[in-house]
Formats: sequence, C-alpha cells, structure tokens
Amino acid sequence: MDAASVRIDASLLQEYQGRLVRIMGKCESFDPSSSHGTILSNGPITIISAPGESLSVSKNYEIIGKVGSNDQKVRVLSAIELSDNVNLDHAEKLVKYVHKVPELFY
Amino acid sequence: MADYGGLYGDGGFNQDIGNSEYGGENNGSQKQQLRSSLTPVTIKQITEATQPIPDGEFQVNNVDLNLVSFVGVVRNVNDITSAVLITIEDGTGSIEVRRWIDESTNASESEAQKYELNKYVYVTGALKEFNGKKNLQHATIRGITDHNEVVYHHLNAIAHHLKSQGLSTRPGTSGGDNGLFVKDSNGMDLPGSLQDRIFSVIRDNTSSMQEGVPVPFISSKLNTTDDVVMELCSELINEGKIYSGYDDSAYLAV
Repeated sequence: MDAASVRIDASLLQEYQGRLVRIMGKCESFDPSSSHGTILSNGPITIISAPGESLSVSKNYEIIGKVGSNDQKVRVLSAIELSDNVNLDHAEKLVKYVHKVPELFY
Repeated sequence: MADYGGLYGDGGFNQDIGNSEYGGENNGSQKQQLRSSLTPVTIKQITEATQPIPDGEFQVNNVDLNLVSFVGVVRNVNDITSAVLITIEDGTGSIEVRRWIDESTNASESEAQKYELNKYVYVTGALKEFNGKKNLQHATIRGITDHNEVVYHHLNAIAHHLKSQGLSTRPGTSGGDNGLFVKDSNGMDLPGSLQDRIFSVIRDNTSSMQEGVPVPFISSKLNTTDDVVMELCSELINEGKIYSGYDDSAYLAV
C-alpha cells in the first residue's frame, strides 16, 4: 500500500489509465455474480471487485484501485465503506483542488 | 548527544556553545519557540518535510510543521508488547505511528484491538525525527465515523498550504494586509454613497480615535462640508451604525 494513489473522479479516468487511483462515490449497482458494479463519482465508473468481495448498493465507498490500461474500468484493490452522510459534492470539489496542488498529494 | 554521564544541564549547555556555528547573538533566534498550533497536513508533507535547524520546526513548501494532524486508513497493526505500531496511509504516502503501552493500565493486545484495519482514523502528534525516520510523539489516534471529515481535512490542508505560500483566497488582499493598520485610502477611492464613505472613514478610525472621529476630519477626508457630514451622521446614528463619541462633533462606529 505504499504506492501513492491519486484522488480522481469519472472525468479524470482517461488521464489515469493504468494508474493507481482513489475514488469516493456512491455505489449505484453491483452484480455479485460478475463482480461488476458502478460507482457514481461526478459520473458513472465501472468497477470490477475482487472475487468474494461485494459492495452494497446506495452506500458510499472510497475505492482504491487500478484503472485498466485499455478500458476505463477500475479493478478494486480496497473498498472502504464511508458514512452515508458524506457530501459527494464536496468530495468532487476536493478532487478538483487536489489536482491544483500536486505538491501535497502526488 | 554522547555525554550523558556528567551533569545533565551542564553537559547540554556546554555542548551548545561548542557546536555553535552561529554568532552569540543568533542564539536567541535559534531557540525559537515552537508553534503549538495544530497544522493539517497530508502524509506526503510529513515525509517530505525537512528540518533546517536541529530540533527546530520541520518545514515543507513554506509550511512549518510541529504539531500536525492528518487522516488516513489503518493498513497494519503490529503489536510489539511495549508498543503498538500502526501503519497509516492516505494515498499520498504512509507513516508508522507508535502508541506506547502503559503496562499498569492496559495490555498491548487491548491497545492493538482498538485499531481496525482498513478504517479511517484521525491522527495528531508532534513531528520528530529519529535515526532519519519521521515519527509522531504523543500521538493520538481516533476513529472517524463521519467521513466528511476526510474531505474537510484535505481541503483544510490545501487551504493552509496555500496561505503559507502567501496566496490569499480573498481577491484584492494580496499580502501586506495584516489587519493591524488602517489602510491609507484617501476617501475618494472608497466605493458607495457619501453616507457609506463616511461610515467607512469612521469605522476605519474608530480603533485609533477613542474619543470619536471628529467631523472636520471626516469632511476633509471626503472633500465635503461639516454640515453635510453632520446631517448624514445623524442618519447613521438613527440606523444604529454609529454613536456619538466624547461630544456631538465626533462619532464612533458600533
């Protein structure tokens, strides 16, 4: 877990292909049979969770994962459940500001 | 460092003088008092911080670090009997935080069990360096239940960082305006109606003129007559914005 993960949202997926990222968002759908799901974070992001791990729909999560190099799906390495009251608009703003001061974050 | 055998105070004092590369008069500034306010940071700032003066404050990008706070996820808890080592990561880096065990009150297992893996925690402590490795003294760790705190902490760290770069979030106050001195504006540049400008002259000078801001002073600042100022001031009094000072020819802002 030493590798730094960069905080992004759906709008930055393309820029971070093949990289380790951190995404805060709301789980919109999750299909346990295929381990595929969707996270809403300033737009939908398709995630592929590790087999056996599942996310609950409409809960907030912080996903740490790797963006595929050819697709824009995120392979989940760790999912941390966040409290339901997280203001995702603020989280979105945070993503914006994080990329303005890279010296603090990556 | 080496001479622990002798008198404690004497040894340290002599060593200071012996090692001093600075002139005697600089000794005062060297012994700067550490700031004891809590600085919100990211772990990357901690790992990149340098210590220009031994035992002084750490610095990174103009931010002084002494007491720091950060949020992160617990990734590893290592129970080494005398202490519990907790590895915390926040996406920008990771750091090991040591919680010493007080044998008389609690066992290391119960301390170790307090920290759940993959949970967000809020950590505070005094930043120190030992053997080239940063650590936190007197660390406190508490779990985060409302994850808005994570977002806010990072925003706070960004705000603090930007302020330390001399950038202000408010437009038009680019440095120098530390609030102690009244701006030397000549009245004509102040925006708003004459009444507003009278009010701002009174407000700006209230702290320095305790017996009231005299009417002639206001009228000369605003290039108008005493009568006009008196009239507008009585309106301002009726609005409750100002009140008479020592007598009716001088006013103070509320």
